[in-house]
Amino acid sequence: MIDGRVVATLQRVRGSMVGRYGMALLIAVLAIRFREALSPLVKVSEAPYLFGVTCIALSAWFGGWGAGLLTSLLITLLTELMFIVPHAGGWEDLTASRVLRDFAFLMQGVVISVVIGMLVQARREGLYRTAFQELRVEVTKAILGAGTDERAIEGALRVLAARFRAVAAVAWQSDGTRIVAVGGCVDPGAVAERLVPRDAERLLAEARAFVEQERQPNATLRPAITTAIHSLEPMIAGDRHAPARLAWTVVFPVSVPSDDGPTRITVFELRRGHPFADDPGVLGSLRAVAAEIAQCLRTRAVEGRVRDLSERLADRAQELQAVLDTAPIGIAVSFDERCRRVTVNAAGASIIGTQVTSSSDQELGSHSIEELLPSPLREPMRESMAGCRPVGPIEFVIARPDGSHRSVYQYASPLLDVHGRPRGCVAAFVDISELREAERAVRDRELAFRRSFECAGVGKAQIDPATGRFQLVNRRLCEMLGRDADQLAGRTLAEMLDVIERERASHLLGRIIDGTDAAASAEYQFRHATGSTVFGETSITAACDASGRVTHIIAVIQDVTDRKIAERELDRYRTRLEELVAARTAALEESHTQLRLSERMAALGTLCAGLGHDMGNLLLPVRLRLEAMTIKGVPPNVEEDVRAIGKCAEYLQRLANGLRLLSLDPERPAAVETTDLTEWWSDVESFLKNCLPRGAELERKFETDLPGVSISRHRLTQAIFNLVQNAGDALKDERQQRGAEGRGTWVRIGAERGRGDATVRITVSDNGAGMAPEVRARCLEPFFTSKARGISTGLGLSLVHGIVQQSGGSIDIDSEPGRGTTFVLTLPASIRGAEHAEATELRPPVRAVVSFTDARLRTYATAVAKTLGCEVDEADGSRLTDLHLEREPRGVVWITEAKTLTASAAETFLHPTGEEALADAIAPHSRKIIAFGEVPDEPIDSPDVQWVEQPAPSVIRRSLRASVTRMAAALDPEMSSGGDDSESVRDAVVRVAP
Amino acid sequence: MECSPSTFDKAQAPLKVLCVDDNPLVVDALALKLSLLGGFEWLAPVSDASRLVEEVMRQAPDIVLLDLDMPGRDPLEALGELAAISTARVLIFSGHTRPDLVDRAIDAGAWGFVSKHADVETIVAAIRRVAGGEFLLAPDSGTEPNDSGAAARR
Repeated sequence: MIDGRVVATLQRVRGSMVGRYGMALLIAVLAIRFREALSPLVKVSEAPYLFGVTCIALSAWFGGWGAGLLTSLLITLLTELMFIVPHAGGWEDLTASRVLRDFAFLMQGVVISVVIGMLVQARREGLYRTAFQELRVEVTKAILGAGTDERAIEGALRVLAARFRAVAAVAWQSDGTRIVAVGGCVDPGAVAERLVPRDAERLLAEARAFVEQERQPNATLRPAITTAIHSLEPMIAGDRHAPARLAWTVVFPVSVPSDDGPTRITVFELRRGHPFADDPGVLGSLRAVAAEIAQCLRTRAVEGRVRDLSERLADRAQELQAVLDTAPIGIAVSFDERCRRVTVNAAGASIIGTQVTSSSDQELGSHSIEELLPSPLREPMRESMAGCRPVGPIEFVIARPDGSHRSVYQYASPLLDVHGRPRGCVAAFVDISELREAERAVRDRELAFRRSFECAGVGKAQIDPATGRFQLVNRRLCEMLGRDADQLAGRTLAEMLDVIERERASHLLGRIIDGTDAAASAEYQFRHATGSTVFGETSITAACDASGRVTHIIAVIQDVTDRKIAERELDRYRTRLEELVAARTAALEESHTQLRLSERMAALGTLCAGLGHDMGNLLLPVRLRLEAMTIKGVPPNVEEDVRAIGKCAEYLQRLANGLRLLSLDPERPAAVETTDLTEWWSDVESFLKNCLPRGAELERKFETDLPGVSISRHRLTQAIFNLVQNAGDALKDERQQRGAEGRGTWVRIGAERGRGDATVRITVSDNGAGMAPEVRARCLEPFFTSKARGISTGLGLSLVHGIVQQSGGSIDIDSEPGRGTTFVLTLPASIRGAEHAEATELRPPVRAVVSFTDARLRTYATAVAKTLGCEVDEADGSRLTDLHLEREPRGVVWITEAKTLTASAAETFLHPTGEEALADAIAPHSRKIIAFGEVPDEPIDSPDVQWVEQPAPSVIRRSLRASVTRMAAALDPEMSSGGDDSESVRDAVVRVAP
Repeated sequence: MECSPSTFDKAQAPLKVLCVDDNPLVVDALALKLSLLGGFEWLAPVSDASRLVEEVMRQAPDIVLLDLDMPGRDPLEALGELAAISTARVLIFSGHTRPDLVDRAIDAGAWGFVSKHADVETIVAAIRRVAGGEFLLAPDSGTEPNDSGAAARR
């Protein structure tokens, strides 16, 4: 037999068109050659003919009727070209018979080819029918039997493919649809021999990979099938070992019910050009199979599956509702294109502030979006739906129906269907009002902190803990340091201090920075930009985070410069006050001491006065008795004794007088203001001597015919006593220095006329130690003393000074250390001095007329007038003319009784008239009337008439004295000598008028 | 008016002197002195001012020597009462010679003032001068009493 390999090769050649038609051409060429070779052997006409027919038949058997036709055509044409044309003289030999014979041959070839081709086709159809019938059953069985198990389906298909010598492939789409494709050859028997399972597996893998790559979510069933077919066909066709082209392809796009995907109807498709594609029977059979499978699937699985899915869907919906209801954020869902129907969960409704909390579409359907959702909330949802994209997050403020406002943070996202088209929108929103409030509060607090920092009345600075430098300083600190904030930025606290303070401040700040101390305060001396020192009470506080790390440091600096200055001032005042207190205390103690001394002196004075009084009282009878004894006559032997006793009594009397003079208050008015020095000396000499130390001499050196001194005796006594006592002390000191055997010491009292006899100079000299200039300068001050306290009160010379001043005199001191001291008292001389009295007698300044009816008053007034140096006439008013007062140029004072004074008498007295009147010689106001007693109802109105109601002697004396004194002064020639001084006289009179 | 001639009349007769003093030593010694001098009639002395008016009215002295420093009634008050009813001339005879006291005494009715510390002759002269119608203004020297001390300076 024919070798199997040759057969296989022939099969392969026949499987391809080129092979088939190439074989036909080859057979045709061989047939021509054989006919030529055979022509000598056989009759030309039968042999080539038979041979040609055989070749045509062979071609038809191999290549089908097409190949048979081609072969016959080629034989006809080649025979003519190769045999007829070259041998019979070209185209001219081509006769009609030959064309007819060739045409007949060609027709025979056609018939043969068609017959043989029809026979071959019939046989193949039988085989296909059987094979498809079998395939249908097997595929259905395999798929149904495999169920939902992918591995089982693959295994079943593999077995199927092996049995039918076909290629089976399974592809899965992303939606879970499986595509099963089975391809095979026309000749199942031949294919079965040539395909190996290994190739099918490889193809299957490739198909699966391809489908995986071409995943299309929304692909429809048809494209999936087409893809699968197109993917399988080239794979199988490209197999070099495939003996023939893929004759058919069956695709089963099967979506098997599974947990994940929906159920789909299974359809069988036949590829175009398939031998059975136009066979209604086959198609109907396949459709029936498909319908059967679909029905089977539906009835078996789809319904249960749907039920299961519904339950699950309900569960999911419930869960979703629960999620919506319990969600802490607001969720709004709308499947309305314009967001009119909106579902809002409870939290969302609470945020919006609406009463609608139901998520039922039915209830919400009656509300427009404006009612349910505030516009700011709605717009992003619309935008999201329109743009098919998420919108947000967006923050806005909504106004709630109750008028309040809420800050809301919203995110809207579209809901898409399976085709990617928007079918709704969901929005999630959160009420962030509290957050915003909190943020605002934080901002406010921060602002407040900033303000309090910036506007604080004390200096504040924020210090970087890392560098210790200022980060922030406030205005007050800038003012304190005299620098602006830019100048202070980046500087350290220590740099602002005096050099001596820096180390201390750095140490303290270091302890704050490293966390040793949480806060510290100290007082520093800051340096102002101008160089002055500013005292700052500085408190430094560290702020730490949770981990205890120092985040920043705040320094508060209080300007206490004023306080420091005030404290220093206060210190100074306190010191000064203490000094003053000490000084005052000392002065007080001093004055206290002086007071005690003064009191002692006063007590001593009282004692002196009492002693002098009592001595006088006792000495009077003693003296009287002694005189009586003398008068009576005493025996001669005792005469001397009585005289001695008399002298003693006299001495004692003078001593008593002196004591009285000494004890009288110098301030007290004296009865007698004129002192005769010689008389005075006899009274005071005895006790003045007692003031001197033993051995010191008291000498007197008075000029003769001295005028009286205008000072009371007790005042003079006290002045001279103090001076002598002082001199005695000086002598004591001198003696102590020079020793008891020193030269004789003395105190001299001198008196001489002063210049113009108006004054008398009384000197008290000693040859004692003398006074230093500074002592001399201050010796007249009260309480000044150069002696030990207790010996001297420091009042003695001050008293002398006061007495002399009071008496109108002056005091001079001449003293030198070692040369003794001389006090010179210059005192006014009395007008009743001897010579002055004489002059007064010649021309008394004032004449007085006394007209009292009462003898005692008259006598008294006369006596007083006489003591005032007046020439006195006693005459009543009727006898005034006898006095010839109209010729009297002197001043005249008329002292009378008011009850006897008549107006005419007063007129006559005040303004004398008559031939003898020396009217021109009488000075104005040189006549004066003093009327004593009750003033009449219509008193005489004249400035020269003085009314005195009380006729007491002392009043008469004072009135008379005042008038005489003034009149004498007014008429004094010395005063009026400068010309007509009537004005001054009148003034003087007016001044004294009551 | 009435006293003056009567005093004059009695100048020939011894002067009746009434001493009002509580110190018997002084009274006795003065009585002795005046009796020795002659021309004086020493009336029974009084030691208490309360009896002044009564004794003056009874004894009718010419001169009354009145001490101011006595226990009992104020002598000046008694003097004021006496002056209103009697013409007896009262001479103050005291150791105290303060000017205000002198003024008060004269205002009360005294005719003068003589100090106990004065000489005996001065005292006797004072009695005579007052009896003779003079006023004794100064206790010691018979000069003017003075209360301001300013007048005499010119």
